[in-house]
Amino acid sequence: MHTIDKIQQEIIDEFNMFEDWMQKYEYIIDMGKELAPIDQKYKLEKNLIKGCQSRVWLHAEIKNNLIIFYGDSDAIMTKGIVALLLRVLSQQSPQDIISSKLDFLDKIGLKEQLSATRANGLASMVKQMKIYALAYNN
Amino acid sequence: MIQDVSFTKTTYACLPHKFEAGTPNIAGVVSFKSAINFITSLGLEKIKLHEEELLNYATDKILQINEIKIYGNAKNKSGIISFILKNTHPYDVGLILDKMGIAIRTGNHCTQPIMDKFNLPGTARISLAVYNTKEEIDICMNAIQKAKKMLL
Repeated sequence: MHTIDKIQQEIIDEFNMFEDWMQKYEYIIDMGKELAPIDQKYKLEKNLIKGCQSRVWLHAEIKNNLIIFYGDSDAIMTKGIVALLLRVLSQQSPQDIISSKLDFLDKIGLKEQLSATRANGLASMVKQMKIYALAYNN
Repeated sequence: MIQDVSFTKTTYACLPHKFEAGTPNIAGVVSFKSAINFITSLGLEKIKLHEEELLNYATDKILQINEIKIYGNAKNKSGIISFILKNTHPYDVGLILDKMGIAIRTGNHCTQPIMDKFNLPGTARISLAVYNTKEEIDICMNAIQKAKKMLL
C-alpha cells in the first residue's frame, strides 16, 4: 500500500513534466473523464459538498480499517480534482487521513490557479474527507 | 454571501462567508466622477449603437460554433450572450477562458428558478460593453474553440 506522502510525491512528479498550464488542465480533464461516475444512490443532496461552484458529491465507506471514498462532479475539471484527492486519500486508514498534510495541491500549482471561491470549494472537499475520517476513527 | 436562492427559501453560505459585509466602495465613489464624464463625453446613443454592433457581431460569430446554444434571444436585449457549449459544464468553459485572459461569468447568475426551468446547472455569459472591441470578440471565439477541443 502506498502512503499518502508517496502518492502526493508521485503526483507532483507527474505535474512537473508538463510545460504549461494547458497540459496540466488537459491532464486533469482526462482524470475527470476516467473517474467512474458515483453510484446514483449516493448522488444525494446530503452528499453534496457546500461551497463549490459546480456540484460535488462525496461518499465514504470503511472496509478493513481503510476508508474508501467515492466522488463525482458535474464539471469535468472539478471531477479531475476530485479524482486526484481520491487517489491520495482513498484506501487509507482514518488515522493517516486525519494526520495527512495535503501540500501537493500547492506544489502542482493548482491552488494559485483557482480564484478565492474555487479554492474555498477545494478546501471544503478536503475538510469533508477529513470529517469522514474523524467519524470512522473509532 | 448567498448559497442558494429559490422562491420558497433563501440560504446563506457557511460561516464566515455568510457575514461577508464588504468595505464601502470608497474608490468607486471617488472614481464615479470620471465614469460620468466618460459616459457623457461619448453620449448614451453612441454607446448603445456600439454595444448593439458588438452584440450582433459576437452573436453571429458564436453561432458559427456548432455546439453552442444561446439562452435568451429577446429583441432589444442588452449586450450579453448567455450560452452553453453542449455536453460541457459552464464552469469548465469559464475556467479555461480565464486561463487565456478572458473574463466571463459562469454559474446561475443568482437566477436558479430559470436555470431549473431550462434544466441547466448554469450558463457561461459574455458581457459586452462600450470599451470592448471586435478584436476582443475574435480572441474570445478562438478561446471557446480551444476550450471545446480540450473538453469534448
